[in-house]
Amino acid sequence: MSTDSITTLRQDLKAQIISHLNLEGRTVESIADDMPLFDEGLGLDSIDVLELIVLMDKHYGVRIADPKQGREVFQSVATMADHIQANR
Amino acid sequence: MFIRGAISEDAEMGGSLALPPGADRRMAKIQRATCHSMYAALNKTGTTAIDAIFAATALGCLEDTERFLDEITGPSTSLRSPLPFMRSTHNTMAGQLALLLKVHGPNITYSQSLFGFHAVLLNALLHLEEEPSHTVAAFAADERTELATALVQTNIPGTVLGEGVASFILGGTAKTGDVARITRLEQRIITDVELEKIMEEEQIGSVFCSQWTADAEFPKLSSKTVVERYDPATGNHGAQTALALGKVVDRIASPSITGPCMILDQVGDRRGIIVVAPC
Amino acid sequence: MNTGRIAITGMGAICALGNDVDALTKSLVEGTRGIKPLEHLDLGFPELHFGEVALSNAELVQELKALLGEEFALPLSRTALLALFAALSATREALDENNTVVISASTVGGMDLSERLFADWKAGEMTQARYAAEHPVGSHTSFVADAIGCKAMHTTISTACSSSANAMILGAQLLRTGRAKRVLAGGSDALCKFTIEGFKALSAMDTTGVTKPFSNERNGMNLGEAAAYLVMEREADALEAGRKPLAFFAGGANRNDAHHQTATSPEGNGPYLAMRDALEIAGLKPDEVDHINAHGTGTDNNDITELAAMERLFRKVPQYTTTKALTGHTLAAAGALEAVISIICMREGIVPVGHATSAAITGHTAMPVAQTIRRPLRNVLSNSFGFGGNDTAIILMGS
Repeated sequence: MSTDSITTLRQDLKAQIISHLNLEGRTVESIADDMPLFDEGLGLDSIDVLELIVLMDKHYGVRIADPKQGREVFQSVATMADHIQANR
Repeated sequence: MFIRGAISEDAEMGGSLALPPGADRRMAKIQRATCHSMYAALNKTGTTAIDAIFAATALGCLEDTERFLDEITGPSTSLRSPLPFMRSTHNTMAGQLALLLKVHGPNITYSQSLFGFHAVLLNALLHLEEEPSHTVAAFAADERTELATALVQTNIPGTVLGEGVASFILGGTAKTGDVARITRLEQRIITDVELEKIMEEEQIGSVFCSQWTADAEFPKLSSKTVVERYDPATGNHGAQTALALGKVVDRIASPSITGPCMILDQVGDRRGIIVVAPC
Repeated sequence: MNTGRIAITGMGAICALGNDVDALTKSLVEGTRGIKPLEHLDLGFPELHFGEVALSNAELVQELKALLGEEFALPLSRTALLALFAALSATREALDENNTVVISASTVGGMDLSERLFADWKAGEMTQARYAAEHPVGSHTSFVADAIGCKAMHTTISTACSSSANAMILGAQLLRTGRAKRVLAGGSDALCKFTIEGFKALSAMDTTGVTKPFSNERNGMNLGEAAAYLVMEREADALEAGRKPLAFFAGGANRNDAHHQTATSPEGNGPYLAMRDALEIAGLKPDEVDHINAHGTGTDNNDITELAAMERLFRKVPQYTTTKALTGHTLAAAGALEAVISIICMREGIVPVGHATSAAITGHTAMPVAQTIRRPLRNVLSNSFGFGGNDTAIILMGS
């Protein structure tokens, strides 16, 4: 995949996360590629992980069987995009 | 038991106490309505700390129950979002309030058709008898959906399903600004004769009844008490009694009402009674 | 009103370990496990194991008609059928129709029928509208109260998995203040597609067979179904009527974690407060607790936070067990079912084994009992924690 398409994927992912998790007040621009999704970063929690797993499955056709694996995939938008790219 | 304040109208957010930013991103419509209503009651009474929460809902978060039923009757292979399931749990509203208001004390949700809110008041009373200095948040909430409306129309012809939320701040000792007090609670099989006796004992001036089913009979009361139907103002739904209490509280100091009031609910041969007196 | 002690003078339960208290006792003493693939319910999920009651709905209806000696209107939810079955067994010796308050608990109510109604409605039909009457979680309580002829108050608590433990606390309060003469308290929840799919979506289900609570290898829960009820009354009333208490309800507390909708705080604040305050209400010191029937669902979050709370409260964590590894997690019925189990354990003088593990949770040392221990038990603490940070602990005392 080219640099262009990974950038597009990351931008698309950010928009999807904002809409799917109803992160009102957040914009695509305010989420950095390597910003932590949990705690001090975007402040997501264990329920959001389950929601992100559904998002990955329904929107990108990538399935994560074990939510514990999810913790690694869902470190940041960059790690999510890498996982989608590698498994799509 | 003393009512510090009541909210029985749809509430918009406002006042000094407000939901923290982002707090409602996962809330269902009924959760948001409940939070707005309770925050309005807290603001109205200047209450900043709550010790216990008691709630009633006959059907809980129906929208999410139906959403999840829709999901699970769909293709079996798809992954499902857990949110509708989580929100369909009846104590999701009271739990949300505990989370927002940091209430570590008792948190009980009742569900018993029209009598859930009667149990809420009873539990609040039990709590305040043990801890008279505590402040209790009590509410009832129910919502309607297209399917629930259709089902009620099919099963109880002539009845239109309503929805609503009402919130109360309650205390165990009298305080300046209290709007009313609750002097008696009953919920059991009560005969007409017993009902008459209770009305005499409590010197009831006005009775507020509902007519949940179009064919239900009003209790035949032989005394000269004023009997009024409350449900044209509240709608017919699981939270109607709480809305009725809110409306009685709003009117209790006015000249249109004389003496203590009784809110009377009836399901089959079982009756629920709330006696409300001015402060 | 005189405070006095609250006696338990009757109990009934139906669950995967047996259809009555005698069968349940035998299973506990023998260490039988009730968790296996579904046999009686046609719900699918061949890959998962459950704590299923060994009676179909048709069999339950037959049994109930025989017990009541009369017909009753159908359809009824499985929750209602299980509830009446256990309630009749609990009240066999100690029923007072005029003065018994019925406090039940449920999370699913008639969802088994609502699933069918909804599927029809989705297909454009409205032929099952009468099923809707069974949907409210309080319907089974009205059915039980009417079937046993109770004229006093009845109500239903729905606080997720702590529901029926909370029903017992309310019962004790009504008795202590003289507002009730006798209470039938408990809960009922039947297995249905809705809850199975719900806990699957939450990724909380064990997919390996049987749950492994308090093990480092735990990976989720088994769902179960049950109904359990206890008759509660003031000790003086029980003795006057010549009923020997089976045990005493020494106290209970419902506290809220106020941390997250579904997850418990890392330090187990809600569970800690519930256990601490239940002990205080019962007038007991932590070292007077002989045994803990832990909530122990086998999920990652519950077990580590429950253990953290136990370690905070007890200098040495008492012998503890999770009977959910035997019955499955029976949701709203769990608190009452585990109260019945705790009383059986006191009566038999045993601490039963749930899941034996040698893999302690990382950072912790206290492990659940690994083999059935025979010893006298006086005070048993039972935990029931639910969604919405709803944490309840109750204490049962031997008679």
